[in-house]
Amino acid sequence: LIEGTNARMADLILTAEQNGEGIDVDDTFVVEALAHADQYGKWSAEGERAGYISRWRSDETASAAERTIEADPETQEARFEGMARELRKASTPRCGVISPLGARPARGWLAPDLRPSHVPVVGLLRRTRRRVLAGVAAIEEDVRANAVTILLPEAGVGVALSAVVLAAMAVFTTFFDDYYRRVLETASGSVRAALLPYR
Amino acid sequence: VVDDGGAPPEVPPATARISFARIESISLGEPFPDAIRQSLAPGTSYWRYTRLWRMGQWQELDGLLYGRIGFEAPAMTEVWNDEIADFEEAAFHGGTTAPFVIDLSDQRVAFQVRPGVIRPTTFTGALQALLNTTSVLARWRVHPDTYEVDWPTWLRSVDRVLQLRIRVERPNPHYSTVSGSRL
Repeated sequence: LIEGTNARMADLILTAEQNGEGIDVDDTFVVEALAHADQYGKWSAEGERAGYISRWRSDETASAAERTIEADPETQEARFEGMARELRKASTPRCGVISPLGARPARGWLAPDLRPSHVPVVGLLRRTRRRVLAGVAAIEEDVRANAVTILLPEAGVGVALSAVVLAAMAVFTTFFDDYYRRVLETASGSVRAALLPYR
Repeated sequence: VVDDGGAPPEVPPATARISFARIESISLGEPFPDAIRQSLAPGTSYWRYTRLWRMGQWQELDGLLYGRIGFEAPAMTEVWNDEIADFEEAAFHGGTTAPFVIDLSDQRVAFQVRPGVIRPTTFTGALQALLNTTSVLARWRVHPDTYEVDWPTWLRSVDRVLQLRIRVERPNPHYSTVSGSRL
């Protein structure tokens, strides 16, 4: 379709009959278009589930729930009570599958042995990066959830370290005090003799 | 207008589309309900792209905050002038609002989507900007309430697909050439 028309891209919008069966996603044309868009392009879909509208986007591999509720006929604004009802009713299921059309294939225009996923080091680096990012995200969530609990001991450790440093500075200041030096000189003859008593 | 001589035609009930988002605090400080009440400051404004977004009044009832944000944008129109017997340009302020409801118990918000004008990400971006304008200490992140799901799973979850929008792109200028295939 694209090569024949010399177009950079093509946007296809398939809309179902209002009371029909819906778009046939197993149709050859749709299957081929989605297979191409999976590598070169994107797609979004709108579906009906138990009377509600559900949307899905390939670039986010995510679904967002939408509801149609009664509106004010004059202002066309959604009624607050309807929004409150749907807000309390709506729940968002969580699942961890990410890739559209199952596993996303590598870019087709690269020879198999040149695809990044086929280079062992690149694959290892990618997997490591994903794990590190997942770990950081998990830690970030935990830290945020227990922020005050973490902050208090952290501040305590900071105060304790500051106290040790200040005490050490006080000791050194005392050593360099003029009166202390005079005492040392009187008792030992010199500061050097006091510092090195066995020489 | 066709006069059928009978009762006035039935007007379908007005409907509106609503979507959902999550409000997340990314700063330390007060618990969510108190912090969000302080950050929802009526009259707050924020320029985002070419629109001036404003926070309207809100009220609280049964653990829910009812409010409205909206934008105004300068626009031009052409009006008829009798004196010069011609059309002339006139400036006016256009705008749209999006009512919202925040559930204080689970930090979710329902809001009205205005197709083509206020999309879900438009609303979340504007609300986040307005919340963050109020104070430099309270930082917020508002993101559409979506959940990760793959295409086959989503397909199985719906009764029927109402609309499918597919963008197919040409991979590169030499996709169909021999040299391109060899790559």
